[in-house]
Parts: sequence; C-alpha cells; structure tokens
Amino acid sequence: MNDVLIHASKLTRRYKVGKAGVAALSDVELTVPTGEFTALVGPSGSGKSTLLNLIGGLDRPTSGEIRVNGLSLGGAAEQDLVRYRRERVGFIFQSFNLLPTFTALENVEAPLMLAEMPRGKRRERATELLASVGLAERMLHKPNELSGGEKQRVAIARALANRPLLLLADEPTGNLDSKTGGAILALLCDLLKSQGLTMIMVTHDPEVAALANRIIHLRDGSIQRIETKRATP
Amino acid sequence: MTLQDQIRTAVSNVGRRKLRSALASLGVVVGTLTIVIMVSLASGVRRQINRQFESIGLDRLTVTPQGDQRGRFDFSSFANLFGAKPKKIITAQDVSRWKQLPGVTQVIPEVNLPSAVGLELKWKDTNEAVRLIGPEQGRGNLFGPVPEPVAGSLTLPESGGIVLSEAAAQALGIKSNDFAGVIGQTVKTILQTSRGETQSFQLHLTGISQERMRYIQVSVEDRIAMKNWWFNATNLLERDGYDSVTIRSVDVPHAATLTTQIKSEGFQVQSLEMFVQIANRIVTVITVMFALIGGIALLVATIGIANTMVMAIYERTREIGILKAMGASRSEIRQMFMIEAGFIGFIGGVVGLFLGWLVGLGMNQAIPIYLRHQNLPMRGDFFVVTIWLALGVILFATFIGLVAGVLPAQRAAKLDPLEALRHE
Repeated sequence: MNDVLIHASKLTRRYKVGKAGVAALSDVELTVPTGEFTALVGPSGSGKSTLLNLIGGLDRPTSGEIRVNGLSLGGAAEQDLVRYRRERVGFIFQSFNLLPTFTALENVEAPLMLAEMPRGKRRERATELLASVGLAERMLHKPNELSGGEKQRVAIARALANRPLLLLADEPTGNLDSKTGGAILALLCDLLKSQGLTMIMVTHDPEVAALANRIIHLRDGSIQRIETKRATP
Repeated sequence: MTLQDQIRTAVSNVGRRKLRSALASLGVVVGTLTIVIMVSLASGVRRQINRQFESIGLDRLTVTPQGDQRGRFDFSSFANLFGAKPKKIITAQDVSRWKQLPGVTQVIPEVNLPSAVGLELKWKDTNEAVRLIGPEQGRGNLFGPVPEPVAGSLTLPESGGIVLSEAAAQALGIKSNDFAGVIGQTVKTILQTSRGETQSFQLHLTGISQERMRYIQVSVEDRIAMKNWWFNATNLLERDGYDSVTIRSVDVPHAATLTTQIKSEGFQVQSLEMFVQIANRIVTVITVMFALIGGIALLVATIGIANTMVMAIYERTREIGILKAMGASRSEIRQMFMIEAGFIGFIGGVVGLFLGWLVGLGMNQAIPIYLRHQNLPMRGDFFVVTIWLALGVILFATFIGLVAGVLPAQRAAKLDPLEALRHE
C-alpha cells in the first residue's frame, strides 16, 4: 500500500558462543512498508531483539542484506551508520535507558545536541515534545524522580526528537503495569497516526501485538508466520 | 556534537564526582606546585643576580682595538709581530657613533701614557711623584664603592682640569681643612723622560677624591696632549686611536647586546657580563632539575587521572551505550572523555598555580626579614610568577590530563553499543 521502508533478504546473524556459532537469526526475508506498525512476537531466544537491533543499526548482520530507506546497513561505513541512528531511528527500551544525571528536558535535548542543533532551538523543541507526551509539568525532574510511565514518556519524546522515520520499541510496556502500559500504547498509536511514523515493536503480550497492522511470529531465528490486518490500530 | 557542548557535558560530568576528580587532580596539583615554586624562584633569583651585578658595574663594557693584547698571551700576537693583521683602531667617529646606540648612557674614551713617563706635581715648593690613572680606574676595587669627592667635583672639564686623590693632596702638603680653599688653583704637572727632558702642563684643580692611593686624574684631551709630547708627534689619536673605551649601558641585558654588536664591528670587547651568563646558566640548570621533579610528579599524576577515567567509563558503560544508540559517534565519545580528563588536569594546574603563587607571596615577605636578620639587606622579590609561567604550567597540566585520557577514552569509544546497553 505504501513505499517499502525496510527490506531484508537472507538476513543472518550468528554469535560465537565458545567455539560453536549460534544462529540468532537465519535467512530472514522481510519487507516493511512506510507508515506501518509491525509487532515482533515469539518466545525468548527467537531472535526478535536481534532483528530489531539489526534494523536499528546497533548490530551488523553476519550475512544477507538489510536495507532501510535505501541504506544498506550491513556494508555501511561506521559514520553513515552513526548518522542513520541519529537521524532516521528512534529507540524505545523496556528499561527506558534515560541518562540518570540529566533532567527530563536534558534527556530529550541530548539527541538534538548530538545533531548540533543550537541551544535555544533545542530547548524549544524539547519543551514542545515533552508537552506533547503530557509531561509539561515534570520537565525539570531527573529520571529517579519520575514514575515508570513518565520515564517511558520521556523516552518516547527523546526518540521523536530528531524526527525519525522509524520507531523501534523493545517491549516498551514490559516494565509497566497494564493501565500505564495501555496509556503508553495509546500515545504511541496516536503519534504513529499523526506523524506518519513506521514502528516496529518487540512484545510478549498478545493484546499489545493485536494493535499492530502486522504480527511477525519468530521462532528459533526464523519467521514462522506473518499475520496481516487491514484494520488501522 | 559541537565542541562547546562537549566541553559543557564533560565539565558537568567531572562535577558529578567531585571528590574523586579532586583526588585525581591532586597529583597534578603537587606537580604544578613544584614547577611553579621552582621556576618562579629561578626567575626571581635571576632578577636578583642581574640587579646585584648591575650595582657592582656589570652594566659596563670595555672596548679595545683589535689586535691589542694588553699583556695577555695569544697566538694572534705573533701574527701582529709579522704585521699580518692590521690593527683596527678606535676612532673619534666610533666613539660618537656608540654614544647614539640604544641603551648607552655614557661613553668614556681613554688614552694611556707609557709607564716610562715620569710624572711629578709641583705645588708651591713641593715636588711629588704621582701616578696618572684613567677615570674608570679611579675605583680602586671594582666591587668597592665609587670614590666620593672630599672637595670640588670629580667630573673633569674637556681639558685643563685635574683631580687629586686625598693622599696625593696631602703629600703636596695641603691640609685637609684647606681642601675647599685650593679648588680652582693651578697645579703644575711635569712630565719627564729618562734623559731629563721635561715639559710642564698648567692644570686647574677640579676636585679632590677620597682615595688613599697617590694618584691624579686628567681628561682624555690632556692625556692625548701629554702623549703627543712624549712621542714627539701631533696626530697620535688619528694614528693609533683610543687605547680603550668604556661604555656604560642602562642595564645588564643591554650590556649583553652591546657586547655582541660592537664585537661584530671588529673590536675586542670585555665585559663582566660573562659572570652573569654563568650565574644564569647555573640557575637554569638548577631550575630544570627541580622542574623535572615536578614533571615526574605530573607523570605520576597521569596514572591517577587514567585510573579515575577507567573507573568513570566502567560506571557509565550503559550511558555510553545510550549515547551510541542515539547516534553519538566514536570520535564524539572519545573526545568527551578526553576533555573530561583534560579538565581534571586543568583544574589541578589552576589550583597548583594558585598555591605556588601563594607560597611565593609568603616567601617574598619572609625572606627579606630573614636577610635583614643576617645583615644582608636585599630588595625585590625572590619568587616571580611570570605570565608565561602561569600560561605554560596550566597548558602543560591540561596536556597531561589529555594524555592520561587517551587510552581510557579510546576504550570508551570502542565499546560495542549493544554490550554497553546490556551493562548493569
């Protein structure tokens, strides 16, 4: 229905464990169009996170190819990969991964600082983003003064800071109670719709996965089946 | 990431662990302190040496014609015997040119009479043999005080004047209480050859100096006239030039430049400036030795800083992972930690400089009190922190910090983002 944003073919990632190589992912074929919400599900060790990290440019494939927005991540130069992470991708983690000594505002400013946005502009943009995730009142608090839901909202604001094409979320509600988790998911779905973002989310929770356009079931490093839904989340 | 942001982040990161950063920079403080104290002491001592030497007259130099060996043994004197090297004489033009050189306060040309000249003074009925000396030799001892006049003035007019030493005046039978009364009167100076020919010069008594040696001083004009008579010539100055010229300069450093300049014109220049050079060289060697000790302290300090940085990087592994996931490059991570290490060095340098300056300040107050107690009154500072020392020492301390940060920062930059994110 849309342009292809992500395309992977024969994507394989092996890890060395002792002397033997263990395939975390083998020969995965995947196409993700722009603007879709894809859920990656499967038991532990099925390769969900490995796939997510490869898409995010945090890891490189052992063999096969993965292209995102025209950039081949396997063979890209280190500096191209750095720029890709900075400008195209926003990460959201289960454990939030906020910088503990920075305030909420400074955490959202950090990726803008890396992108060398001038100070005044970056403060403005970070304030705007925090307001849009409902944290206008908590901007000057440090992570340890925020609740889990608030932390994840800061992380979402941070992920959106550099206007990425792609949001990559690794169990974003895994550390939250169901009510807070529901609110976070609702926020993410709103953002997807309003900003035309593409999102790939790793999750254990079938209820969460049910919100996605497509659900990719992984097992032992291979795609088992793909469920496609027409319905918008 | 801009350099400004990197510096700001690094400074706030150092501020996060104040005690540990302070302990790490302590080594730098000790090293810098040592260097500052030693080098500022050396600059102060060097200034003292120059000042002391200036006060005993090292700001003057003596120019003699080239080839004139003045009794010293030198191989070139053989060359002169065979007429191989023409004598480079000091002309009146040279003297007037030297008067224009920067830093020159006084130029005193001298002409010596041969020692075979017999010299007698006639005052009323008394005849007394005396010695003639040049104006600069009036100081019996180079390191002694400048002679004071007991009557009249010791500054001779262009010609026709004479200065007697107290001893010479007394030998002529002038009483001490008559000294003031005889100034301006005529003294007959008689030159005598060994064959008995004589020539007398009428000179007016200009002044009497407080000296126990029996001598007289006359102006260079009069000495030229005496010499012309002795050699039965009229143009000795044009032919042989002055025997020597004493040049006084503003200070010791000017004396040094004048020495090289006049030497390059082909004259022989003697100055006691060599003493200053040797003294300065000794001070420099001692400074370098002590500064090396400070340098070793700084090298040891790099270990402390490196250790702190390794610890900091270990603790912040996860943060490094987060930064990398957000798109921080290796070089940005490396620079961030290098700047942190450099900042620790910088802080140590500033604190060390300040403490060293304080110590110097205290010593500058204490030393003169001690010296006065020892009956060695000396003015001036003994510890001088120059702007170059201050800048140099801070730059060096910062550099030491940066060097200490290289390896830890390299390690941080190389961290795998995924492993770093998994780090607890």
